[in-house]
Amino acid sequence: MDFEKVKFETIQKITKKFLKITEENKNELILDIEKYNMIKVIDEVIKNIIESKFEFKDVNAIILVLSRFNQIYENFSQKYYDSLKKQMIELQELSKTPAKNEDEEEKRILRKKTFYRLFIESYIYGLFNDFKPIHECFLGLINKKENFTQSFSILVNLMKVFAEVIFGIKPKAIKKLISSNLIQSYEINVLLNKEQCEKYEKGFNDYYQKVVLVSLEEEHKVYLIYLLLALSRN
Amino acid sequence: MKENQIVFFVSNNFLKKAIQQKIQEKLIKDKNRTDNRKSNLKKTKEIELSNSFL
Repeated sequence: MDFEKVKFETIQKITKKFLKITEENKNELILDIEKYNMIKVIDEVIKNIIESKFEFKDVNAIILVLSRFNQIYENFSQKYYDSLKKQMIELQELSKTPAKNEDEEEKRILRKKTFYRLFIESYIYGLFNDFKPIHECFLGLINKKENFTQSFSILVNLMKVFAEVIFGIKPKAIKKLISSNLIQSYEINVLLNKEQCEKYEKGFNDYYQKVVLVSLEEEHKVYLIYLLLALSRN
Repeated sequence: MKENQIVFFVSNNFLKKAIQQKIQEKLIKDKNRTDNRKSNLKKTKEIELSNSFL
């Protein structure tokens, strides 16, 4: 690939642009990737992207930028995958320490939600091809004994986006509309095979029946006791 | 047709159109994902092959 020759300082300046990737600037960034040789700053670019405080709406733009890098630089995929895994471990380690206040707790949850989304979307887009960490990610959320509410909220968020494309689970409302011929049936490319999908669907159903419903019932009992106590005081 | 039936019919049709539009968007996104996945994985495969010749 022929790149434009520029001073290294220019490349370093461009590297900073990857701290904020959005739908609005993604095309400009892709042009930069095609124009300049960034081999010397690849590690920094990956770090800037992964550690930046991106939002849900930026994930698609980030993935397209990453895909362009992957198409140009031979060792990109492995380096990116290693950095993703490192960040995942850091996030898991961080959640072992209690948050200072509610604000920090909320920030942590949001960070997890956005990062997990980037992680899974990277797999779906073929930026890495190992399903094991994705399996572990879902399993980790399901098996977490402490902080059920937080894990469940992250899981619901991920399932909303990925349940259909990874596990072939269509939303119930859509299934109902299709079965009553109110809308046309449609098929999308599902990543796992039928047998694997059925296994996961059963696992999620068991989790819902045995953990989610039980936890909600327990929570309601506690609220009910508080309510009765408050009423008896009045 | 009674008034409440008309309201239901209109809102039902409106909902159907909105859902069908969402499905269209989903299918377009799915195609983009699949195309990107193919080219990204193809690239990875090429790299694996080139490395095996080193």
